[in-house]
Amino acid sequence: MIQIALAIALFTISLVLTLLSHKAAKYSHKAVLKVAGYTLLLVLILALYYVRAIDTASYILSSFFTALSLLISLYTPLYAMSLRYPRELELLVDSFLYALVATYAAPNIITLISAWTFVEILGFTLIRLGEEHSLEGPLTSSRGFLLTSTATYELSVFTLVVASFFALGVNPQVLLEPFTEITSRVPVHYAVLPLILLGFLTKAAITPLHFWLPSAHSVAPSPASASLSGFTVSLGFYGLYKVLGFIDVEELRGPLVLALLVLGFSSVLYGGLEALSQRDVKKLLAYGTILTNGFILAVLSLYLLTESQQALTLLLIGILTQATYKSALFCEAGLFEVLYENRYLHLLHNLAKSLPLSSIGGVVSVLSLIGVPGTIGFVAKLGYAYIALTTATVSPLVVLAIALLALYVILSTAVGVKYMRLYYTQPRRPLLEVRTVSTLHQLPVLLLGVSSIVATPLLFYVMGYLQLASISALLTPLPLATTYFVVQVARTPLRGGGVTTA
Amino acid sequence: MSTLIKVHYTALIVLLTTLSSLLSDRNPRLSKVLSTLGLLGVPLIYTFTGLLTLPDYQLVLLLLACVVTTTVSLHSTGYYRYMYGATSQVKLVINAVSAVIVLLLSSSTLLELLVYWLLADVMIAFTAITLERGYENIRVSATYLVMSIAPSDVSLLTLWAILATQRGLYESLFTDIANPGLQLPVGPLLSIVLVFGFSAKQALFPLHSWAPLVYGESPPHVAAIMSGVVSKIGLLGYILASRLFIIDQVAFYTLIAQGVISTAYGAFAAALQTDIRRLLAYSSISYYGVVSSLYALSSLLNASQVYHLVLLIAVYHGILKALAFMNTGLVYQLTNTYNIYRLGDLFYASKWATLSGFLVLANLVGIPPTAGFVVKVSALALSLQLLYENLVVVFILLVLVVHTVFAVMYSAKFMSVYTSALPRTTPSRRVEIPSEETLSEFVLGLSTTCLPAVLLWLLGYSAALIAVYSVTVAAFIALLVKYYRTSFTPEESRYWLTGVES
Repeated sequence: MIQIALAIALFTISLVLTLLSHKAAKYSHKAVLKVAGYTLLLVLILALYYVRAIDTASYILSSFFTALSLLISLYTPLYAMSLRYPRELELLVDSFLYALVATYAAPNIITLISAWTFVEILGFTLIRLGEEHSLEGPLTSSRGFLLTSTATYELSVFTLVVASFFALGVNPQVLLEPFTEITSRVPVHYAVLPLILLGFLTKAAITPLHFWLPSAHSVAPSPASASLSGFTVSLGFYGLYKVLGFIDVEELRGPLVLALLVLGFSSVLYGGLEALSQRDVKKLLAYGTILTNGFILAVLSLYLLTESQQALTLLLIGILTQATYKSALFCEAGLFEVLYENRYLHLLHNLAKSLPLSSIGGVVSVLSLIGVPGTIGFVAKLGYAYIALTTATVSPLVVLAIALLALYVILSTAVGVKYMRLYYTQPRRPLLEVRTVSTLHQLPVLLLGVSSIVATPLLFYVMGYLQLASISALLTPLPLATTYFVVQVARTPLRGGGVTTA
Repeated sequence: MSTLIKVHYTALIVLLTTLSSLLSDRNPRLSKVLSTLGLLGVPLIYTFTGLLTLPDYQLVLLLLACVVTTTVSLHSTGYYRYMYGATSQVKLVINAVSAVIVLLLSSSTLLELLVYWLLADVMIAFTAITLERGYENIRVSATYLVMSIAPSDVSLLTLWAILATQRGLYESLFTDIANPGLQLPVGPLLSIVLVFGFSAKQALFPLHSWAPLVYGESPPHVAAIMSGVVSKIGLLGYILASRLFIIDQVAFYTLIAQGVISTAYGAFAAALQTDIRRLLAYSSISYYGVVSSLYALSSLLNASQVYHLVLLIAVYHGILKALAFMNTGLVYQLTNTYNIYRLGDLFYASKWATLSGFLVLANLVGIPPTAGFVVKVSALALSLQLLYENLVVVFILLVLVVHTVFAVMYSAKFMSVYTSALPRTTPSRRVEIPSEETLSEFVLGLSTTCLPAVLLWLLGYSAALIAVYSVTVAAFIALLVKYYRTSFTPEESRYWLTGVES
C-alpha cells in the first residue's frame, strides 16, 4: 500500500514539475524543470521494475520512451513559439507524453485502460489543435481519429474486460492484479477474438484499417505527430502483446499467425507504395509508419508462434526502431515548417546546409530505416531473418515471412532514398527562408536521431545479451562515419549546375 | 591473437587511407604514398607474412581489389585536380569506399563480411554515386539500392540466418568463413533465394537494368571500382553460399539460364550503345553472365578447372574494366562528352590515352599475348572439353561464341573514340595529361599483358610455351612502339587552280 502511495506521489511530483515548466519564462528554466520531471519519471519506472511490478517489455519501452519524450518535450516550446501555436500546446504535449509513458508502464489492466483513454482523448485534442492551426489539410482527420482509432480501441478493451468477467466471474480484483502475477489465461470464444483484436490492429493502422492515420498524423503539430507516430501507434502492438498474454488462443494459433502475417504483408506493400507517391514529407512519414507497422506485426506474429525471449526482444527492437526514427524525422519535418513554411518534398532541398545540426540526426534516422550496420534498423532486419527461419518450420509460413522481409527491405530502402533527397543540394532556386532555426532548436532532433544508434547496445544490455551488446557497441562508429560522409557529399556536390550528359 | 591482428590491420588501413585523403591537397606526394601503402601495401604485407590467412578465392579477389583501388585512387587524384582544382573531399569518399571494400574482402568471420558488405553498399549509394552530381544522381542511387543492394542483402541475411539456426546466434556470427566445417543442406527454395540475390549484385537478367544506369551516370572512378571490384563481391557470395551449404542443383540451373541470357543480351546491347560508359556497362553484364554460368557449371560438374577459370576471368575482367572506365574518365576530361559519335580524333590529343584504349581493345578482342586471349581460348577449350558431360554446356558454348564475336564489334566501337575520324580532321591541340593518370592506366594495361605470364609461371608450364609467350610479347611491344611513333597527318585539301576545293 505504501509502495502504491509512493509511486503515485512520485508520479504526481514529476508531472507537476514538468507542467510547471509551462509557466517558466526562460527556455533554460523550462529545460531544467523538464529534465528534472522526466528524470523523476525514469526513476519511478526503474523502481517499479526493481520491485517487479512491471515486466521487462514494459520497463524497456517505458524507459526508452521517457528518454525520447524528454527530447520531444524540449523541442516543443521552441516549435510552438516559432509557429505561433497557442500556449496550451506545450501543456497538451507534455500531458500526452506522460499519459503515454504511464500506459506503457502500467502495472495492471485498469491503469493501462485509464491511461490509454487519456492518450486517446489528448491525441484527439492535439490533432484537433493542429487542424485548426493548419492552413491546408483535411478538416476531418481528428474526427476520423476519434471515430476509428479511439472507438475501436474502446470496443476491444470493453470486450476484453467483459470476456474476462465471463470467464473468471465479475470480480474487480482481476483488473487490479499486476500483469506480472497473472498466470492463468482467459479462454475466449473464437467469435469474440476478432472483436478483441480489431481495436489493436486499428491502433497499429494495419491495412485495411489504416485510413485514419495518414491525415491525422500529418495534420497534427509536429511534436504531437512525432509522439503519435513513434509511440502511440506501437500501443497497438503493446496492447496485442499484453492481451495475448491474458487470453488463451492455443487452438487458433496457426490460423491467427497466418492471418497476422498476411495483414502485415499487405500493410508493408500498401504503406510502402503509398509512401513512394507522396509529396508532403509528413504524409510520406505517415505512410512510412504503416510500412514499418506491417513489419512489426509480422514480428509479433512470429512471437506469437514461439513466445520465446528472442522473439520478444526482436519485437521490442522493432517498436524501438519505429519510435526512434519516426520521432526524429517528424520533429525534423517540424523544423522545415518553421524554416520554410513548407513541407513539400519536391520543393525542399539542400537541408544539409540550411539545417546542419538536425540533418545529422535526420540522416542517421534514414540510415536506420534503410538498415545500415550499427543502427537499430539493421538489427531489426537481421533479427527478423533469424527468427523467421528458426521458428517458422511450416513451409508456407517461411515463404510468406521471407517474402515479407524482402518486400520490406526493398520498400524501406526506396522510401529512405526518397527522403534522403531532401539533404542534397539541388541546382534550383532556393526556397525563401521565412524564419530562422536556432542551434538549440535543432539539438533535440540530432539527439533523437542519434538514439537510433545508442538504443541497440542499451537494449541488448538490459535484455541480458551481453555479447551482442558489446558487438553492437563496437559497431556504433560505422553509421556515424557514414552520416559524416553523406552530409559532406550532400552539402557540396562538385558540379552544382543542371547540366546532364546524354 | 587473430582478433588483435585484425584490429591493427583494420586500424592501419583506415588510418592510412584517411590521412592520405586529408593530405591530398596539402602534400600530394605523401598522400599518394600513404594511399598506396594503405590500400596495397598493408594487405600485401599481411598476406605474404602469413598474418592474414585467406582461402584462395578470397586472396585472389583481395589482390585484385588492392591493385584496382590503388590505381583508381591514384588516377582520381589527377582527374579531379585537373577538373575541379581540389581533390581532398573526393578522395575522402573514394578512399573510404576503397578501404571498406578491401576490408570486406579480407574478412575472416561472417560478422565482418556482413558489416562491411552492407556498409560498402550504403557508402557507394549515398556518397560515391552522388559524389559529382549530387541531387541529380539520387535517382541512380535509388535504382541501385532497390535493384541490386536489396536483393543481395536479403540473400546475405538469409545466409546468416540459416547458419544461425543451425549453429546458434554468436557462433554463427564468428564462423570462420574460410573453414566453415560441415556443409548444411538447404532446400531448393532457399538455394534459389541465396543464389538469385547474389546474382543481382552481378547485374544478371532479370535484375540487370541497373548496371547501365549506375555505371553510366556515376563518376568514372566510382564506375571503375564498381565494375572492377564490387561486382566480384557477388561472386564471393556464390562461392560462400556453396561452401557453407549444399546448394540444390535447381539453383545452379537457374543461374546458368540467367547467365546465358545475360551474356547474349549484354553482348548485343553493348554493340548498340552510343555512350562509351553504357557500352562498357553492357559489356560488363555480358562478362558477369559468363562468370556466373561458368561458376554454376563448375559447381554442377565439380570441375576444379572451370572454377580456376572463373577466378581468372574475374581478375582479368576486374583489371580490364577498371582500366576501361578510368580511360572513359580521361576521355571526358579531354572532351567533356561520352558520346561515341561526337568523338573520333582523340589520338591527336593524347597518345597515352590512345595506348590504353588500344589495350582495352586488344583484351576485349583477344589479341595474344593479352589476358583476354588466354581467357577466351581457355573458356572455349574447356567448354568443348566438357561438351559431353552435361547438355547445358552447349548453350554456354553458343553464348560464348556470341560473346566473342560481339566483343570485336563493340570494342571496335570503343576504339573509334580515338581513331575513327583520324586522317580527315585537323590535329587538335595536344593536351598534357596529369602523370598520375598515365601511370595508373599504364600499370593496369601492363598487368593485363603480364597476367598470362604469371599464370604460366604458376601453373608450371614448359619452357617452350614461355618462350613463345615472350616472343609474342616482344612482337606486341614492337608493334606498340611502331604505333606510338606513327603520326597521322590530316589529308591535304586538294585545291584546283582557281582555289575552289574539288
